[in-house]
Formats: sequence, structure tokens, C-alpha cells
Amino acid sequence: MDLDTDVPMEDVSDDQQLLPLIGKESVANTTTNAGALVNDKKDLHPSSINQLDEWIEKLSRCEPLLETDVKRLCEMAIDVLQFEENVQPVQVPVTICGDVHGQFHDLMELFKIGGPCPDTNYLFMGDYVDRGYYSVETVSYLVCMKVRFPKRITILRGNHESRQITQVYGFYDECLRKYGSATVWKLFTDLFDYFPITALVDSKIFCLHGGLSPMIETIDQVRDLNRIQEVPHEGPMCDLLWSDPDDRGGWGISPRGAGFTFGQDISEQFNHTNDLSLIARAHQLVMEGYSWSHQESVVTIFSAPNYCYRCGNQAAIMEVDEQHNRQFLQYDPSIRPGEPSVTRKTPDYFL
Amino acid sequence: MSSQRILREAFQNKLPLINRGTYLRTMSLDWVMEEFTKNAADERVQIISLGSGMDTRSFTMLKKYKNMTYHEIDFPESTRIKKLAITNNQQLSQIVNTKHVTVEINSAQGFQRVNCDLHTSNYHLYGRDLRQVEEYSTLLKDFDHKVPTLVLSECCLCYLPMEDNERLITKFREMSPDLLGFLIYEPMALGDNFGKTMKSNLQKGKGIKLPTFESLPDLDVRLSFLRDTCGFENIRLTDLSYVGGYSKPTNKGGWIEFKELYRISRLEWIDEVEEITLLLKHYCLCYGEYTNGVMKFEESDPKEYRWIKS
Repeated sequence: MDLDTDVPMEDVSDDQQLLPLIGKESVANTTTNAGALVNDKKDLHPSSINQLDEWIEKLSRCEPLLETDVKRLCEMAIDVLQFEENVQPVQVPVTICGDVHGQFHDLMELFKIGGPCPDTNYLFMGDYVDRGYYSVETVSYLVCMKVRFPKRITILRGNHESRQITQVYGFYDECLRKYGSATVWKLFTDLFDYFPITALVDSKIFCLHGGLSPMIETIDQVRDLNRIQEVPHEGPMCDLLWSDPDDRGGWGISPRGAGFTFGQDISEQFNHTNDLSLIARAHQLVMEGYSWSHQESVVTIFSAPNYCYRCGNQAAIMEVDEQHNRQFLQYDPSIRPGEPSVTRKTPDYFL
Repeated sequence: MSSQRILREAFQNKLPLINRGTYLRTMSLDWVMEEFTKNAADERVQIISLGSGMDTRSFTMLKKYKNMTYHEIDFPESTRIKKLAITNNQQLSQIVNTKHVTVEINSAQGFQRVNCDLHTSNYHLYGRDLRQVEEYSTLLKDFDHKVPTLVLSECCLCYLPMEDNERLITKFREMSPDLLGFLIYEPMALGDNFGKTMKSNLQKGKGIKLPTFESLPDLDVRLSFLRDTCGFENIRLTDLSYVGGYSKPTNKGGWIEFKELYRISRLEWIDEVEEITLLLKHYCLCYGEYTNGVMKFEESDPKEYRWIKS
């Protein structure tokens, strides 16, 4: 296939940690027998790539993978994600995206607007599942892309990438409906524990799903967290995935019931302490798809247009070029030819 | 009407924002009704619920307030189901002072033969099309125009064309009540994208048209409709996002005590505050009254943040 040429091969050979792309047993080998792994790479890699490309092609038609394939995909993804850092370094140029929430067709629209991956580098800031009707396809697609082009796409964890939240907000039910059991839900939620929780673009833009935590003053403190666990109910990891900027200064109690609200004073102090130019985060619906707060020290990016098929909002992504210039691209819900809108469940209202 | 569908919807897990919105709706309507009842002190109070459907508020209120008479009006198909639910249930029939009789319905004809009205000493159920009621003074049994009366429209008048809205509301004025309050809860379009999407979703998805949704799109238009067109006094308007404490500038927990708000926030996490704010902003709670000038509705503990307009 055309896609199997230069770029992805470079990706993989750049990164020794990516070598064991297949099979659990190779995970154990990573620390002990690097030489054998290089051989493994030569033997196993092309077939992995073919396999991934097949899955990606199937998923881009919005067809879910077989349960056995999801299992293999998640094993491959753990091999990649477990070696990423709590604060995953990312280079410019990169296109930064917010919540997707199972709106698969809108995700395809996003790649049309922003340019296909791997030609464009992407950083997604979490919330791939729940609420929309295609969480399974959406998260499968993004995880496939991550394994296929590990250096070209970064996928952070959102507050919805959690066992507890997905049982309330739709992903669990969708897995049950599409696979007849909770196995796929279990596989993905186990995988979510490995997702990095923040990223740092060129040491200047701190990216995460929610916001700041009263228990975190420096980025190094994020590096010290043990992230490989279910999102806790409270504490720094919870806050990073749940908090919101607010017009009021200082720390405030969040109306969401988890995380905190933080004021401009907090953002400015954090950016100053860590020599940052910007905090980029997602997590909140914003009607224009992006929204500045705290005098441009924080930006919110939301990439699910007409969120929940109800909110009538635009979506946006933020391109950051080599010179750190930022450009926002806004888009509306994709038009889905052939998809009869009447079969879609009408979102709930009070009537 | 599919009873299976009703059952399925009743037991389906709902999103936290829907549960929270339902809580705020119920809590705020209950609150006004109870304040209205307290306002009347030991005197009698009459409640008239328009399009009452399967609402259970009448039972909780009648259980709590012995000085209350409750009138419920809805289509005969709906009141028959409700009547059977009441008389077949010992507790409910006790609350509305009627006999507990087990009636089994095995056929559509049998259902149609059930009298669609139920009248007791404290409770009246009428199977009527609201648009066809000529005079409420002749329909409503034991109605006393000297007794403070609250008319409740919980997503009912919004289904009627504007002319019917006006005609129906002003009919109550002709009963020359000493105090008749109107309490309205319904959605409004606000002229934004959420409103446009909601209109199209309801129309395409459920075949529902809501004439007042766009004709009375916001609180300003509603204020002038209630005051100038309907001739109400003592008008108060708010939206449900204000009630829930989601809208600035209040941010004081709205109608809910801060401690209670904190408690319910921890029960079910609201994953998206902007979304629930947006949804709740599109629902209004409106109060207005016809009065003889002597009686009027007063809140026992007025708070300036309770209503957006008053």
C-alpha cells in the first residue's frame, strides 16, 4: 500500500520502544533482550502495518473491528502508550484538537479540515468516547492511528476515558449493544489507564484535558504522578482531567462535582513558573469551537460540532506552526449522505 | 399510546443532566406551589393542573396539605389510565379519598367504557380536550372563586397555538377570582443555534411542534405577553439555569442551598456544565396572577436572586 512507504517506517525506526508491536511476550523482552527485538521488528513489523492499515480502512467506513482484533489492537497500543510520559513531549508543527465524543463522522471531517494524518501531526486532548453514537469506531480509529503513526499523533486521556464515567455516559452501553458483551469495554478502559495525561508542545504549550490542580505547581510534579490507574475521584490526576478556568480568581469548587475552577491569577502563575506561553485544554463546550480565557493564557478547544446532536455549536482545531503561530480552523457538523436522520435517536429534552 | 414504550422510558437510565433538569423542574414548581399554599395560611387552596398526564404531584401535595383541592385535566385516554392507576392502588385511592377497587381491563373496548372522570372530596380528574372547554366555571366541580387558586401548566400550553393560549388563559379571568395564579413551565427558543437545533430535532425526530417556543422566544417577550396580552399582575419570570445556579451573575447556588447543591453534585457528576446551562436556559418558569386587589401571592422569604424579572 502507498501508506507503507517512508514516513511510517521512519516513525517506527525512530523509536525503539515501539518495536514489540505484536504479542504480549515481547513486552517482557523490552528491557532484557534488545537485540532480539530488532530482529523481531524486521520479521513482525510489515505484517503489523498491513494489519493496522486493514483495520484503519475498515474503521474509516465506520465499521467496528471484530472483538479479537480489538484485543490485538489494545495489546499493541499498550506497548506504545506505556512508554509515553505523563507529560508527553510533542514537536511543532502540530494540530491540537479537543473533545470528539463518539461523533465519528465529525472526526472524519476534522481530518479533512486539518489534513490527513500522518501528513499533519495531531494532538488530541481526550474525550473520544461517550455521548455520541459511534464511540467504539471513534476510539478504535484513533488508537489504530496511534499505533500506526506513533510519532505523528498523540492521544491524551480525558475524564471520559474512565471506567466509571463510561458506564453512565454511553460507551459501556454502546459496547454491549455492538459486541453483545462488555469485553471490548473492558479492553479499552484497561487501555485508557496507559494514555498520557498531559503533553508539552515545544516546552511552551502545556496541553491537557481539564485544567490545573491546587496540588500541582510545576510540570515536574505531573511527571512524578503514577498515572497508570483509573481516574481517581480527587487529587492531582483527577483535577488535571476535570478542572475548568473561571472568571473568578483563585481556586473554586467545581459545579461538575470533580476537579476545581481556577482563576487568571492561577493560570498566570503556573505559566510563569513553568516558562509556558499557553495552556491548551478541552473539556468544555464552547459555541465557536474555541475560546480564550485569562487574557489568552488559556485556550479551550472543542472539536465536536453540534455536540450531542443538540447544542448547535461549531467545532474547532488549533494549528501551531514551526514559528509557534496559531491558527484556528472552525467547522460545522459533517453532512452524512445516505444516513437517514430519522433513525437517529432524538436527544432528550424536557417535555 | 404504547404502554411498553412508557415503561421502557421510565426504567431506562437517563443522563445526569436530564436527571438534574428534572430535579430542578420538580423542585422549583413544588416550591412555588408550596409557597402559594403557605400564603393562603389555613384557608383552602385550589390547584388546577392543565395537561396533567401521569404527573404524581397531586398525590404528594394532597398527602401533605389537607386544605387543598386538586383538579387535573387531560385527554380522556390519559385520564382513564390515571383513574385506573389510582383506584387500583390502595395508597393512592386513600390519598384522594376514593374506594380502592381492583379493575382489570382486558380489551380496548373495556378501556373505552371506563368513565374518564373521577370526582372525590379533594380530587377531580377531568377527561377533556382543553381547547374545547367553553367555560371553566361550569367544568370545575366545587370551584370557589373566593379560594386562592393556582393553575399549573407544566409543558402543556406550549403545545397550543398562540390564539388558544391567550383564549384559554383569559377564560380564567372571567371567573372573577379573588386570587388566581398561573404557573407556567415550558421551553423557549431564545433565537440561538441550540433553539434552532431543538426545534428541528423535535419536529423531525418526534413530530412535535411547539407554537409558543418561537412565538414567546425569551423572558422579555413572555413578560409583555403575560402583562399586556393576558393582563396578569405580580409577574415573576426566571429560567431553569438560574434556578440551578448555573447562570451568572448569581452563582450562589440558585434556588438550592449551597450544601444541598454540593451534595447532589457529588451524587451524579455533570460531565459538561456548559451543556446543562445551555439546556436549562431554554426552559422558563413564569408566574402571573389575576386578583381582586385584596389578595396577592407573596413569598415567605423573598430573595432578589430567585427571579430574573419581577
